Amino acid sequence: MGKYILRRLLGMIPVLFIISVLLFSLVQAVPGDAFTQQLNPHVDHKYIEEMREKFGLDKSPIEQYFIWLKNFMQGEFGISFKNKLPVSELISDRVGNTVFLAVITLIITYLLAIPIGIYSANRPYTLMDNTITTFSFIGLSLPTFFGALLAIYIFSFNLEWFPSSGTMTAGAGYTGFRLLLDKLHHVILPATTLAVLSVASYTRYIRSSVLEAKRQDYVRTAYAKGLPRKVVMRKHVLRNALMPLITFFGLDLGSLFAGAVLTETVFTWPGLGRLIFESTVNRDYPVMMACYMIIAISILLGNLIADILYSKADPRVRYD
Amino acid sequence: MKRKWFVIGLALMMVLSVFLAACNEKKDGNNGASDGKPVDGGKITIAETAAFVGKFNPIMWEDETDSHIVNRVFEPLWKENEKTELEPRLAEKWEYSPDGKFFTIHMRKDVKWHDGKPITADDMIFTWEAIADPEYTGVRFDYVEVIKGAKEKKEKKANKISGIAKVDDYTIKVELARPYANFEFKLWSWPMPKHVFEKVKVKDLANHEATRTKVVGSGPFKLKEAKPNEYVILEKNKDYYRKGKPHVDQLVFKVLSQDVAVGALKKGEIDFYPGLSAKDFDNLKKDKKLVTKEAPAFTYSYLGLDNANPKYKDKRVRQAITYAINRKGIVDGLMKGHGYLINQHIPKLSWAYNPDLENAYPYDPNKAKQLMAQAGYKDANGDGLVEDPQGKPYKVIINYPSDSTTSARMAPILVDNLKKAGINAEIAQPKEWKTFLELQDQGKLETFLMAWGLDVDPDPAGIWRSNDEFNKLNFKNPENDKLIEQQQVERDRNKRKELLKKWTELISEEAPQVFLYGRTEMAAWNPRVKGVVWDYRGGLPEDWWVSDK
Repeated sequence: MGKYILRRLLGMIPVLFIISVLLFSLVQAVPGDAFTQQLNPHVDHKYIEEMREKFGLDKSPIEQYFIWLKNFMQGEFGISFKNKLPVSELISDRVGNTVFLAVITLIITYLLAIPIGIYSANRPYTLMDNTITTFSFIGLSLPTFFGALLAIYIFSFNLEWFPSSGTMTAGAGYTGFRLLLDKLHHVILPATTLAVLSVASYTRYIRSSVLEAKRQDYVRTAYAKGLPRKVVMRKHVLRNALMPLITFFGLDLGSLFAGAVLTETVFTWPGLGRLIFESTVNRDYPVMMACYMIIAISILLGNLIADILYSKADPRVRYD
Repeated sequence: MKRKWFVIGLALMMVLSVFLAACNEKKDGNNGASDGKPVDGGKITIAETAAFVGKFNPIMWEDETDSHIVNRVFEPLWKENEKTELEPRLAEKWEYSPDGKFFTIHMRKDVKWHDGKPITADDMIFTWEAIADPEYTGVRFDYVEVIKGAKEKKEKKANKISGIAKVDDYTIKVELARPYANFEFKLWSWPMPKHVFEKVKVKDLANHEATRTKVVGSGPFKLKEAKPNEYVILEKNKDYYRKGKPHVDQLVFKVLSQDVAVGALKKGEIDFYPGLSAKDFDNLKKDKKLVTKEAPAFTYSYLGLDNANPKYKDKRVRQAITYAINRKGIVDGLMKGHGYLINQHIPKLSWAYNPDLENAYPYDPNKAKQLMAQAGYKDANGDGLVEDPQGKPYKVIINYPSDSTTSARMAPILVDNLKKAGINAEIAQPKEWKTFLELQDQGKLETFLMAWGLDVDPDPAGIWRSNDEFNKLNFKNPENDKLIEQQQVERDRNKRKELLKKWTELISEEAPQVFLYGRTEMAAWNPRVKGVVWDYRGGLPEDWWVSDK
């Protein structure tokens, strides 16, 4: 297993290299740069050129790439063209926020989707199942933006259960456990909004997966052996039906880092999504590259983790 | 904060210049005078619809939101009053030498930085030297370039700016790089503390803790806590030299999305919401529990024409296009009255505004047709639309940046207006903002729907001279250049006004662009906030107080 993981990790290096070349070329191909008409009309145009020089934009794209690569390998993400602040500083805060939001979202998703999906599958085509199906489709078709605003108006402005924005109470100065509680209080609304979307699709998926598993011969055999329903469900149906969830989990883990631009915007949740959007608009290459590479790495790692979990869950899958 | 000219798309304008709005009417809302006696204490929460970057340093900030903080935490030598004139602040007075070559600044002796150290001439000189430093990464050099020798320092030909002489601890004599009539508007006037930044390398200023979190300022409020993506908290500077101000103990600037801010204001979670969209403003105006106010701003929208393009080379064609567009219809209909007609680059609020142009270019499609005919554009094939003098098809292509919803709604109206005047027109595929600017730089846009945010001083240099980098209109006119140069050095205000009058009339006659409409800035607030004057300077929280009765 250790050997396998090492092999996979080493295999990521050329993949990441190719990804970085592709990303860099794409980033370069977009018209305009961070300094296009950035200065104001009083300034002599040659100072814009000087800025480009200061930030290395006067060099050839290939040269720029290798300078970027060299720095990146040393863990140096460069200076944002737009803010003139270190990229690592811009990112570090937001990575934490993004991961926190995503993990809570995943937990809420699983807590809701698994029981609902199983419930639905056990009583297919009943009134309750149809109701769940209907709500799933509504949830799927609800635009995030609208859902987020609706949640804020109901749960923050009317019921006053949760704050409408931010990751913590402004100026409260909480620390330790109190800070964690405060953060949880702030994360629940955006996380639930995001979760509602995925709960809808997860529920549909789990429902059909469980229904399928229940039709298998080994389930009939288990019943024939006289095993109680609960045991059959737990040991034979669910274990097989929920296996594909591991794949979902691996994929989700990767997209965790990409953030959720709309939800972040509405709830003023400073995550990576918004940073990626803004840096792209501003052609802030160092920030763009750093963010995209983080996403690329996390997707590759997510896949690896899914594969490892697969081998743990399914004895037929072995990597040696 | 001294404002710079903004090159902006219509949509971006909503984000920019939120606090930099303008006013002279006091018909709705509160004029601040009727609120009774100020009360000290309390807290005011202000909505920000864009996150801070968090560079709270007078010479390093670049985003409009950061300037809202810098404006409260720092104090300049002088500041604009409600009549767009400069009022003494850190400087008691200033004067030109009789030959206009020198400019002397006399600073107050009783003002201190937030850490108790006195503010002296050294701080101001230190700040100018930092801006002229070759390593400086900010965008303020144009405000120091006006000092003799600054350019030499930037180009590494000198170690110091030669044109600065410290007369004593509170007096500075500056030599002008060339004569200016408006030097006090051209010169950088916001000092940063020398004793704090002395040992910091100029290229490290942006990320220094004294720029980011531990700010030593000079203004009515001190920076208490900054989480740039979420909020900034300021607290009262009890030792502020303008006695009796500020009134409130704390200002909280809270970052909110536009859609949530409206609800939060109604709910009382925030007290003050500047920079409203027209839609939100009209919605909030109906709420009798809130105060709303609209004020003319120093920003306007225009349809730029590439004067070098053969399609727009003829003055009569440009005039015809201006006559053909129903600008009043755009203000009343599309803008729902949130704007006003303009015919010149100088805003109504300015002392240099030319009232004679008030009614230039009324909507007149027939006049447009006549002008086109005079220019040789005739309808040869009888389709109701003119062909160019060579008989080839003629079509105006309207370009706009894709992030501007106002432009997207305006473009079809322009096309319709032009067609009604017999001029064929079409909307080009809208372009993403930076792509749009890049194409404009390359001269590939024959027209462009854009906007200008203006300085308080009416100097057109930088945009309008034939060789100005931002003269994207490619408008070249020797008389224009001469007038701009003359008004720049004319220190007699009446004579300067006369020159600017001639200049605005020349531009009106030449019609190098279509002036569309002047913009307004809108704000709404909870009536517990008292003493608010909402004008082109935006809100001035140091003058506000709260009444919770």
